[in-house]
Amino acid sequence: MMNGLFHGLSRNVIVVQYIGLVTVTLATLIGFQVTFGNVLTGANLEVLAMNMVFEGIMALGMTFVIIMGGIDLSVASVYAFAEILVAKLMVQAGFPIAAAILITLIACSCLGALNGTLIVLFRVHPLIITMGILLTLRGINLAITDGHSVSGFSDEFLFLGQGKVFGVNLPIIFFGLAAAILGVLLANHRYFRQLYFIGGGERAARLSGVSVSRVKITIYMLSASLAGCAGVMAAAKYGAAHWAHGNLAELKAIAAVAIGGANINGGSGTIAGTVLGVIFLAVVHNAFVTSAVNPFWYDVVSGLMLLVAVSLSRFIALRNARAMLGLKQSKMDQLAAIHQH
Amino acid sequence: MSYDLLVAIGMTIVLIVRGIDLSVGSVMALSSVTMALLMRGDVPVLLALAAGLIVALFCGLVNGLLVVKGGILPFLVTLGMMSVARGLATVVTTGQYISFPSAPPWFSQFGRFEFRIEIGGTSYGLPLILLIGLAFVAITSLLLAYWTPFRSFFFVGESPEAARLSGMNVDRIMITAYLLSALFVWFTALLLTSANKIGYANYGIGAELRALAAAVVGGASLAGGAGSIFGAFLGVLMLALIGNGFVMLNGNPNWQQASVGVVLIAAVGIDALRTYRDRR
Repeated sequence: MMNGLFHGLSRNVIVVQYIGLVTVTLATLIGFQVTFGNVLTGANLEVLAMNMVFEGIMALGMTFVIIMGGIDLSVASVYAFAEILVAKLMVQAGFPIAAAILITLIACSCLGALNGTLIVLFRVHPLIITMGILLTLRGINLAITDGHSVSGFSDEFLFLGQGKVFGVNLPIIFFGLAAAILGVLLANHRYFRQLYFIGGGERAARLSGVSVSRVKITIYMLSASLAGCAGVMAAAKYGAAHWAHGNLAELKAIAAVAIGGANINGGSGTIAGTVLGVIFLAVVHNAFVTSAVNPFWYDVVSGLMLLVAVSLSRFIALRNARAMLGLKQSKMDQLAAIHQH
Repeated sequence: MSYDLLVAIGMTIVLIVRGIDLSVGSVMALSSVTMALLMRGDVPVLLALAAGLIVALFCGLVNGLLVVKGGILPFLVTLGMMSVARGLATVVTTGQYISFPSAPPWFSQFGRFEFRIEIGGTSYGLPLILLIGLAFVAITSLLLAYWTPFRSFFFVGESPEAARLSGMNVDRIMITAYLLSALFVWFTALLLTSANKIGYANYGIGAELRALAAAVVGGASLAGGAGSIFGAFLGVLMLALIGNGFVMLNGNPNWQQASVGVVLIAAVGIDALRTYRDRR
């Protein structure tokens, strides 16, 4: 019963947060629409969505990693690496599109496996390993392209990033589908429920028979593969691959997950929350563009939003913990009262 | 290399108290830009330098307060600060170089000053900033080894709980570490601005990673309680030699960035091997 109560309570807190997030997002949209009058047009909404969709896809993978109590900073350079690799394979090595994409995705998941293996092997904070990979891979990206961009794709490949199905851009459809599938899996599938155990207490999870190492490596592979998918589509969208693409994308992905209510120390978070976080970031970014404020402010605001979001998620986690303690205490009081009778 | 050295000293101190400071590079840019803008506006040099110091210390204070009082993971706090400070520096300069032609010449000279030493008829230059860096290595090493307030960084990093129970003001000590890091960052910004004669919003990109790599190579542990300034010095030296090696061997200098990441991972791996027996 205690568990049921606790779940109800924590769900309530989360729902309140979601409603707050949706309200703020809508308020921003409507406020800018009223002031500037060019926000809620089809063209602008498309720009709005396309601006954040690649970070959004990375944020989906980041959600899994953060729930597990990890962090993956390397997504930004995996994304750029995927762009460059798929471009080089097609343009310089002459591979057919499908083969190039397949090889790229396999290479990206191998990078994820490398992340996971090093983290499991060295038992240091994932921050350091993924930062090392971020740096190494960015250096490699720079070195293999000499700082130039790679372009000259076929029209069929460009369709992946620029094409539309039923009037919706393909990357957005991919984001929606991936979010739906991963969301359902995360909420219901046994394998992904393990992530919450690991994030809540790794030692306890290990002792109760979860093969923590294997799950960790798999999840880092998932995160890197999603970043790879984003990279392939980004190459198609921009029509060129460049090593500096996706700089600071990891920051936006983490911010989206934190704004979506995940506990940054692991143990909680949902795909729905992350999607809301991504939409929120996209709307704020768009507000900067439409209001013609100096776009340099955007870095300042995205940093501030990360700090606010993380403080908020920390605050909610503390409140949940306190409520849990209170429940425990009242339960114990009840038991004591029963014993006295 | 001297610039990296100063930042690495600050980073080591933060690592010792179980923290991490990813904002060093951007705070460096923000501080440099502040000083340059004020000097361009004919503010007296010392006043401008003080303003740069205040900006840096303020960033350090916010970092420390959010980590200690807010209970947020240090890397997230400083990651946010990294974005905010870099953004602010770009906003106030709109990404342009800020020169200060009216500043007194001594300011733009001391960053490039070299002592000339005659050995066997050849004249060698010994840059002042290198001497300053080495002096700071010596001073902070000695302080960390012998001075009680600095010794307490180790106790706090080893076990904050135990330090608190034995009556230390853990919160204040942790915030002090972030402030010290900011102090070194300000000094680096000062030297950079003086040597290049410009303030620029893109100073110090990647500085946090080089400093982190150097500190970890030098024996600092992310779990806190360990770290050595002299080790960090050797780490900086090693990264500089690798960078120099690429140039000397006519290698592609673009690989140099990748080498920092590999060194970082290798250092962590070696650290893992070294403590492998303790963990069993």
